[in-house]
Amino acid sequence: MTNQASRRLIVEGEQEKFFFKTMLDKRLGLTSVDIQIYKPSDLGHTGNGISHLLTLIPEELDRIKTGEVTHLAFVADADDNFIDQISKIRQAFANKDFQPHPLGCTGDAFIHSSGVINPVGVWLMPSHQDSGAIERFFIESCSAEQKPCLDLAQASLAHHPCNHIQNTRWHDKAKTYTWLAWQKKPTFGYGDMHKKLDSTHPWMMGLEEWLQRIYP
Amino acid sequence: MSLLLNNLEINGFRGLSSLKLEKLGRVNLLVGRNSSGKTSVLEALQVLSSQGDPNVMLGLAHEHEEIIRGRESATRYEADFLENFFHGRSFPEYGQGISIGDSERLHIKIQAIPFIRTEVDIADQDLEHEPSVRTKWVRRIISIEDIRNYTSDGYPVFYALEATHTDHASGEASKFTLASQDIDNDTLIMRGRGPVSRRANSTPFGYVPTTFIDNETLSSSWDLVVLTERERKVIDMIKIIDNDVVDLAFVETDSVDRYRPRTARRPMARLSSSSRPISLGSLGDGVSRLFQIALTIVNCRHGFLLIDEFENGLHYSMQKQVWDFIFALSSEFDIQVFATTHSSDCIASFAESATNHPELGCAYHLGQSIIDGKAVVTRYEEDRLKDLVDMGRDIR
Repeated sequence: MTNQASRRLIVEGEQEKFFFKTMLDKRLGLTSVDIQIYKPSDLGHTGNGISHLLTLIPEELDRIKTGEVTHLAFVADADDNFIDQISKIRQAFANKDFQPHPLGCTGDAFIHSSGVINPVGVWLMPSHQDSGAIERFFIESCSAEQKPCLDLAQASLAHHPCNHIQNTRWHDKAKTYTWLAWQKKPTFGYGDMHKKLDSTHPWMMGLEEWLQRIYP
Repeated sequence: MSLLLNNLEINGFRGLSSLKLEKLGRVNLLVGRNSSGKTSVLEALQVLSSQGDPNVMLGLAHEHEEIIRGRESATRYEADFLENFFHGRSFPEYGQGISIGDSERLHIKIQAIPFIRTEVDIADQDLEHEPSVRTKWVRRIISIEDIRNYTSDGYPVFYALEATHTDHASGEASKFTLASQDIDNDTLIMRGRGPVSRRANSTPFGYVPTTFIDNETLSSSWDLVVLTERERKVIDMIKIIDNDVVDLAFVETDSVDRYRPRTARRPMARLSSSSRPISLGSLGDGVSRLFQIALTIVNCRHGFLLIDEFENGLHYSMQKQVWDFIFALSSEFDIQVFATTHSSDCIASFAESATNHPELGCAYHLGQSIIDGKAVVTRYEEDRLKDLVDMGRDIR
């Protein structure tokens, strides 16, 4: 193992990076995790997130094989079909000789057949069981204190004239950004989102437990 | 024009037990942490290109300061030097050895053959000339397993390096001895130095090390390009950093060292802004480095250009233009390029230049597996590399 090794979390984009950075640092005290993104969405690329992730997984598994990365996990959106997405990801791990490894909590982990590499984690937003994206996670685990503001945002979008807003994924995004815009300190970033969530919600507890097992 | 190598496989060389670079580009960038094997790849290519020229291997050993004086015997000292090229710094079983190249183009296999000297009776007819001598020393090849037995019994063990070189493109294959320890006077007989002849049809290669190339070597290289179109290419490349440079020449000058007075040829530049020649070295490390790279490129047509730590001496803002030149000249001169780097600026400039020269550039990350010690190679095509760079990903 090299002396330049790191603990790495790969997430989809910059907003997810902000959310996980503050969640790991401030809620879980995991300050040494290097968070990187895998989807070049700001670079004019098209295509869904999963294709970028499936390209990245073998590259990152090479890094953990060399010891340059000691602890590794990926967070992606389940989007419209959790079963389909997780099947593709499990195959990508199998192609590199990594097999499913029970962690004793929600969330996937994979371990190399050699047994000398730490388990590599995978979590599909929102709950690693349901279809959806990170915004669905925020909406479902919204704290009681924030609920009125979120409900107001939802009501304001109910009769929005633009059709694309009514699509579930876009609707969740629009609701989340509206909710954030109506805060005392309006924002469009997910950095402090963890403060607005219910830490006893099963999804939140599940995600935290998975993170703590991947980054002990 | 086809590439010299489509794939490169290296086995048993230096720290590389087994490494394979697949689908090579015309310009290849090698990245990875210290001791990942990047420089060993460049060295392996020199051994392959030169068909195992022991003088090249001796040069590599000197670069690593592996030639250690003061050993108890010249035999042991020469064996140390040769042994260091084998994986694990020890001679393997006959049949294993070093293997470099691919199965479609060029390939070399180098094996070590241990032997002892043994006395045999001399035939009567020899006695007529030397009546006082009744025996002579001859070589007897032994197995690797027997080395320890012979050593403990007080026999000195000698080695010969045997190479098998194959050029699949021309269908030519040859087997020859690279080096052999002399049983009579305890010295190493090397191809190119001793009775073993140098191979004439080796592949050209140019090597730009991390340190500056000496002026003597540079002036010899310059003599090969002066008054040719290649001279202009060198000057054009230097203009990337200093557009003031109009012309170059090597000029014989006196040494400033009064204790070791001698003359030497030094590179001088004519600048558009000056009426007198200026020492090229005074224009900065960047110009000197670029001069070395340019001069090496134009002298290895149809061969390999090998650059160790590309970024040395080159400011990041100039690196994209230098890569553009290298991409262009690699096609023009039919050169396959291998460069190493530790610099994210170098990777970024390579990625940018590679996307402007489709299907020429490729990057490889090298690492060593913590599972079995074997090389772990990740290949990045130019578009993928550009994506990663644009996302701020560090692939060094």
